[in-house]
Amino acid sequence: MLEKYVDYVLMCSGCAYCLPMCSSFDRFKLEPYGARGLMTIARLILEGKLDLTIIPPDIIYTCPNCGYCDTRCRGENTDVLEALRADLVKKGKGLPKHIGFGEWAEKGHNPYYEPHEERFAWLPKIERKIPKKAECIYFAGCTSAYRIQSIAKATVNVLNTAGVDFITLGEEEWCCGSPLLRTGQRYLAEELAKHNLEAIERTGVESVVMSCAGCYRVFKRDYPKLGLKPDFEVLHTTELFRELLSEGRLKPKKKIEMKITYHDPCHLGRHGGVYEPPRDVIKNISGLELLEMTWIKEETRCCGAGGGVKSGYPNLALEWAQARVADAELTGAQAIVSACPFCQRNLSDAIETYGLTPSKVYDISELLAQVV
Amino acid sequence: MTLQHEVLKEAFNELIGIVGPERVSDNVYFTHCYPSELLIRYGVELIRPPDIVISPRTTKELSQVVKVANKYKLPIVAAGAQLALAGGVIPIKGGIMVDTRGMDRVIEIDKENLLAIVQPGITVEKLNARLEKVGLFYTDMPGSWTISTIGGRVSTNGCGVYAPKYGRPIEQVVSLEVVLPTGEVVRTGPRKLYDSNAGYDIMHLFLGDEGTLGIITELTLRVYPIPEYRRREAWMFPSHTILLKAIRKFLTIGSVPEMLLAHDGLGWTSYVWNFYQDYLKEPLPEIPPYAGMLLIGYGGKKEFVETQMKLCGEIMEEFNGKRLPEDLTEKWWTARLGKPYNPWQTVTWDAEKKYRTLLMPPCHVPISKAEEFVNSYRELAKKYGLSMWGLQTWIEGPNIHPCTIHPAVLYDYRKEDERERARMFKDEIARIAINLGGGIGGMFAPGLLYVSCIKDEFEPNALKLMKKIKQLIDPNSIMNPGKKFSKLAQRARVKRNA
Repeated sequence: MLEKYVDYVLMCSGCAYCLPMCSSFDRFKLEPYGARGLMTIARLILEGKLDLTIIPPDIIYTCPNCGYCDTRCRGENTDVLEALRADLVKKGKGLPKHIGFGEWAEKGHNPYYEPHEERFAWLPKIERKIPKKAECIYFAGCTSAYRIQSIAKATVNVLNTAGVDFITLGEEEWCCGSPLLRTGQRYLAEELAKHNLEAIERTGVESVVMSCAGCYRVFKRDYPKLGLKPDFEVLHTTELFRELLSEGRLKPKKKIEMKITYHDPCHLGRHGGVYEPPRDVIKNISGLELLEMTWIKEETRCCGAGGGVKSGYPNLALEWAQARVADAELTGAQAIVSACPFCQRNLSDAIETYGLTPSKVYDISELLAQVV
Repeated sequence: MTLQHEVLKEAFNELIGIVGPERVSDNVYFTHCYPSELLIRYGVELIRPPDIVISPRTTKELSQVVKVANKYKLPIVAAGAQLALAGGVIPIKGGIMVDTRGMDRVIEIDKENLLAIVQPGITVEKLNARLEKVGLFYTDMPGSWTISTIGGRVSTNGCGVYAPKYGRPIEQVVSLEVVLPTGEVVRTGPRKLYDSNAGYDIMHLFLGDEGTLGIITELTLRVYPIPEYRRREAWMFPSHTILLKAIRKFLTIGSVPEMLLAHDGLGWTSYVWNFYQDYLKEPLPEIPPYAGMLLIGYGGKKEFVETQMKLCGEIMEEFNGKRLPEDLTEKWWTARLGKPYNPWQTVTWDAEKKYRTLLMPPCHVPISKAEEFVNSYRELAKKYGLSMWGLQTWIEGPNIHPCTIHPAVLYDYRKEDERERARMFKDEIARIAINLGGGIGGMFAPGLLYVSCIKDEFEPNALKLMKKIKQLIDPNSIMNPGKKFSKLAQRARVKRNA
């Protein structure tokens, strides 16, 4: 895998503009944890001067793949990291915790060790619509389906209120493959990707909307890289909500009096370029006062959960989430709003563990469901 | 891979005892990442990478680390962000590499005395973020301000855009705490006063020394209130020579611009490339390569700024300067002083430029010789067949007339003959600067790349005195070997690490 990036690796000028907001460099303060060090490592491996199999796993697996470095040099640093992880997994040196959920994702189609049949247990039986031609598909994603079901429920409520003719894939919805791609288990992800695309294309529906920023990134950016081009429109819920609001299909009827701040999920913002739709939705809810943090949009501080860190190094993920909550606290907001179940989960975990303020984390869909 | 020698093993174990196992490593994956100097890693043959990498957090830890190095006579190199263009932190004899970026605390901000006390590993950006909250700012603003560490800046003494008014990094330092090569901690004077007349001025020994005499562990810095009003302008001149004449004229009328950057057309294009790509999303305007481009700004009380700006404008027009549109200038400055500024996005460069390495000799010459020097640069680049990156001219401080000129060229590090030509270019241009009464330590310290030219810049007695000072402070010669004066370093060639 790494050989694919030889040109890119040699191009790195070593300017280190990738480092200022790098979570793992900021934590360890040693060169190999930043993208510049990683490029040096990749170059030396490619030149045959270092042996990949003896690499200390911490260097490779503590990066949450937030992609800050990529925005600074318009580069592909995270892709190089994922290639390195893929090569390591191929040599049998993957992180045991990652390999564990990878194996389950292959069998049970989710990375949470949950039974596949219960994926849509949160949805009343009556609403589990049979696959048919519809306006769009709601792709809930594993985290909303198994861990933070309030997001999925809220989204369904909002879609129903707006009169959107939508279906779910039911048991045909498998993990999108994001956790596998991020942790170097690419060969497993390909199978999941193929299945999801086929299942969606069978319904003939032209757009798919998803709650999870991770799923969104994978459909938009990674499937095409695997040679699988989705033949339908991929939307994040915030994009659809904005559309529904501007078309007048959704009309907020109530007010929520609250000061909030918005956390850009890396996979939605930096990787997907979706910065404005969630903010526009927030502006449409009267009573909400949006107070921006210092580090937003392209320079967002990662919540710390991505890239397999939440499973591989849970304490590290909490530490980083703590830093993000501290950013939010400085704004004086009463709650953090995000658009990614995984960010929400990690930030909430940190708040609970360390007793931080603001004490609440909401998904945009949850707030919207309250007012429409 | 583990350390080869018993000595290193013993030293390593002692270091683990000092900082714990997480912050020290002898693993090749750690040691081979150092140094990661900007562009230089392709430019200089690494004689030997470090054996141990360590990240101390306090003066006490660092002092103990240095004691271990001195005990086992291991070379020790302190590094900041490793962004210099001269190889100042390339360890040529292995040993211990101290990454100071872990020492990044602001110890005190003294608003009344306009001082900030910091550890050396803090970045200019993080310091400014803290100062901004109380209406102050730190004036050393290099292009790499988001990553450059204060320790690195004062040890190599670069030059920032605010230098014409506030001076260079070393002029911001009031007091220092330094760990000597023997491990003792020395404070150079009162913590909040610059007081050198009572004794010898030992503080300045450790500024611009590239870590050859000691490792800085705490700095007291001058900080200034953020001016209530700022205005910037950009001017284009028929040639760089005429631009320099204009600069010389307005420096004599007592005008003190807050910021100043002077390029030739080529240099300007190289630096704003990223700005056009990312911000304006439009192709670069056609600028004649040898035109003179001046970016100038004033800050302070509004009336004061406007008056100076007007006078400056009159002089510019006298020298046929053309004012560039104000909104463009403002955007350019915002980009230059904004976070996303990055002229090194090689990915966006033309295909033939992508693998080129920048060679930027830090020459400075008296301003009266600048024109002669610029002409030599262009002739030499042509002679050696190297593509020019362009000129960048800096005025180093208020009422300081020597100016730093970067005669930068690009060379393809993958081609051996081009590397050799680049080496000849750098030696010759350095000699020209010295012959014109200038030197090679202008914009930043000469590091490993230009160390061979130092002996030409000073007379033998001065060199002898410097060597005596080095021997007195660093009897075992452990600190950053090969920099300032070393036979070993003179053998370093512009050669890829292969």
